[in-house]
Amino acid sequence: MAIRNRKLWFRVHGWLSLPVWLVFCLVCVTGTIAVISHELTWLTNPAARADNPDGLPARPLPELVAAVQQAVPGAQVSRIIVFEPYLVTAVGIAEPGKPPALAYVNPYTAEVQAINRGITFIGFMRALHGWLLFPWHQSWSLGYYLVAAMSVVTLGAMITGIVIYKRFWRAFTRPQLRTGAGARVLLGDLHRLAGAWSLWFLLVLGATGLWYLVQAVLWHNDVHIWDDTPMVEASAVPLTNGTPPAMIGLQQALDEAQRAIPGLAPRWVSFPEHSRAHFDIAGDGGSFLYDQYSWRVQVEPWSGTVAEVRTPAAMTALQTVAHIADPLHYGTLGGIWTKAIWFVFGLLLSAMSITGFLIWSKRTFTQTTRVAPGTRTDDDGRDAGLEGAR
Amino acid sequence: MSECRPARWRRAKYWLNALVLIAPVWFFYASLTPEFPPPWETQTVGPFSVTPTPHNSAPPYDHHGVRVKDFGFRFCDGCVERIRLAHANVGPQALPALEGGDGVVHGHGAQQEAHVPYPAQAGEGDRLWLTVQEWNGAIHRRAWPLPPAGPVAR
Repeated sequence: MAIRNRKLWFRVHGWLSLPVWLVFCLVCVTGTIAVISHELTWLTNPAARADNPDGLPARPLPELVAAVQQAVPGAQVSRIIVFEPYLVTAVGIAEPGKPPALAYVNPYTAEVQAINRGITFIGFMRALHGWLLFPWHQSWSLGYYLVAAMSVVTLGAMITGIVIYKRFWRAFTRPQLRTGAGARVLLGDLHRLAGAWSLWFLLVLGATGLWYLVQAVLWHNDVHIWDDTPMVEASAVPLTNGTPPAMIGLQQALDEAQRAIPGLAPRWVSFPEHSRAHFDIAGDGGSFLYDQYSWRVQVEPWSGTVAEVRTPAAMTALQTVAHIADPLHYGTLGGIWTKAIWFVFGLLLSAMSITGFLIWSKRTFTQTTRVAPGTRTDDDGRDAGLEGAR
Repeated sequence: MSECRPARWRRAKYWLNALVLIAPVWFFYASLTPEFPPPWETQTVGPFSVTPTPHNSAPPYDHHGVRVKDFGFRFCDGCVERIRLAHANVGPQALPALEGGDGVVHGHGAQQEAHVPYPAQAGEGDRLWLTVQEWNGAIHRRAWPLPPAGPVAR
């Protein structure tokens, strides 16, 4: 490619990234922490650990719910969230006159280890990374748009980076890190080396980020990726002499769900929110590419009839993208080892926004003081930065 | 002096985006001290006492193609279990039947909520209606006047 064109691509590389480098860095750092937020919770909060010294098998979910109801009399259970095997199972509860809480239950011993009435570190990191804590106006948040727009920066920096870094594949075959040639050269080498080795990561993060941007627009326009399951017919809800009738139990709802999807490992259970709502049971079905809500069953709470079954096999293209984005974006697809890889590359990406800014800063301000009066450079002395990329 | 200003601008311009980082700090602080609209008057609906509170002071919004506003409904302790169905709506009168899905009161425990159908322009005769049906089929209705002014009544 002609050098003249490469200069233009180089400028676009800077124009895309430099005006937002700190925001980009914050999004990268918070995302990197969010990737390991479950593990950090395990490390820092003993009440969130699912210790299992006797190697017991996981107890059935109804036993965990019963343990919570015994520990917190009068609590109404709203939902169950099953995490990694080394973390407690969270049981959402409502109590009269108190804010909603999460009971942390050891899935092997059914011991209620804590009642959390505040925010969780996992939830906080997701909110900080996902929308920078900006408020939601029902279906949209400026922060969510802002963060998702960073995918354009990611992809743009990746594409322009490939163009301006001539023969970038040499970073794989002959990696170059010149430590004795001054800070500017070292920063440039670090930036290019990290960029070349992170190409796959930039592509994965950029593409999934772009999906989140599309999703934000869909949400904002009240376009639903999934249609809600129709409510139970009012006539199907029992009428009695005034005594509340009994719904089916959690165990029966789980049995029905597992009959509909054999092998379903529940990761999320939502109890009916009113008499015409369903048990909502979602989980893993065996394919690592899809998120933990991709296999989902709605069970009618009066008769135990399965009202809806969702599986990856029956998904539309849009639904498929919606359910494979998270495992790819957060690196959860292969468990703790892929999370570790995503964490390392997340750090690299965070560092690249800093090295990129430092390169521009050093080049512009050290360069302009040295250039003899009358020597032509572009506005920011940027062209000089192409050195080393040849 | 005239040459200093562009130089300073060139040095500072890429730091401007740091201002965005103030937002999360501010919003985190705001989330620690949340402000809710005041609860409306507690009234009895049949044998139940209920206190509605709008979630916010924002105007109604489109939810599944219906113009709605979110309300919380604090029922008396132990009362929700005695209710078969409850719906809320804003309009000149209560919903005639509890067949549709709009405005269904839902949640867990005594604190319930609903996406309440709300006219784009609330008029003089519009009120917040709550329709409650007990398990024996007995239906009770109660209305709350809308605040006379302010964004809630919009």
